[in-house]
Amino acid sequence: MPTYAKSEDWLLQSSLLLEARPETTRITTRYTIRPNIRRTKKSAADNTTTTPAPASKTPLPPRGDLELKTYDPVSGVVLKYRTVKLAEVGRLMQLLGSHLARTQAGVPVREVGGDDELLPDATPAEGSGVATPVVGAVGDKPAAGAAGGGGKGKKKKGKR
Amino acid sequence: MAVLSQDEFFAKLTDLFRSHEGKDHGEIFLTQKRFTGNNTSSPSAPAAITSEPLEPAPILIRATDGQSKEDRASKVKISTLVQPDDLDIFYTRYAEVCRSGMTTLKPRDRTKRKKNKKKKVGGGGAGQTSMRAVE
Repeated sequence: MPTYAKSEDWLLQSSLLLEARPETTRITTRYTIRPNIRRTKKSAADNTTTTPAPASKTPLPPRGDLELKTYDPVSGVVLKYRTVKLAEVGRLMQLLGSHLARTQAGVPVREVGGDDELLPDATPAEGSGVATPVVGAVGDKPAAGAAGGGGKGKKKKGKR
Repeated sequence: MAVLSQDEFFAKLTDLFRSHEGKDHGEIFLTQKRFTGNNTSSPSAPAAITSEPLEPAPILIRATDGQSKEDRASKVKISTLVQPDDLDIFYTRYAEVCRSGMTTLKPRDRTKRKKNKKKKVGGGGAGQTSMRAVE
């Protein structure tokens, strides 16, 4: 049950799975709202013995996250991707339609402008329609690492 | 569970997102799968992975608030069918509704501003230190 750190990886593996089993695979998008509790900050304050900020008086706004899950009940393959960024939602939902839903519907995937970086990854998928390598390519990296990586890229761009 | 038209679906989906606004917990599930009708409800012959191109079929979209059995009376469960020709139009609207509904996710603008402020005030970061070394 791999959770991919990059949406590109998730999309590639999901499209592979959908091409292999388009009739049974389903995609679930789960939007979760959780109360915002500053557990990590409290523990950090205990370790470093700094004075904890009295921010707990004002309740923090709840946090949400979005989890995309591709599941095929026949082979039992589950592919996941998690994000907390609102900026990604529009792009991801568009990809659900332009790439994955088209595969599900049996309509040829049309190239959409603006998603050009994803297409070179997605095109070799057409040759191999096997679902099993999906499980082998486990990328169990935590999502936090991916977020950090994305941040670095943005910073570099800004400095140039 | 009646299948709604797209306009009704979007209206109810917007209501569903709105009902979660201001709450500190909750979930919304959105599912999409190929709709093949009732005749193939039991996929008893799943082994064959065919390379033949599929016949175009509609996509079934479901949305629910994930209420458990005790709250079944108040459970929201909506669904719609999207024909293959309508996919692009539907998903454009779908993405808009989701983006405007998912208000608790991290917005992009705020984080960018914070980063810029930090750069200006702190003057930290790997790039700038390297600049100093060059000077």
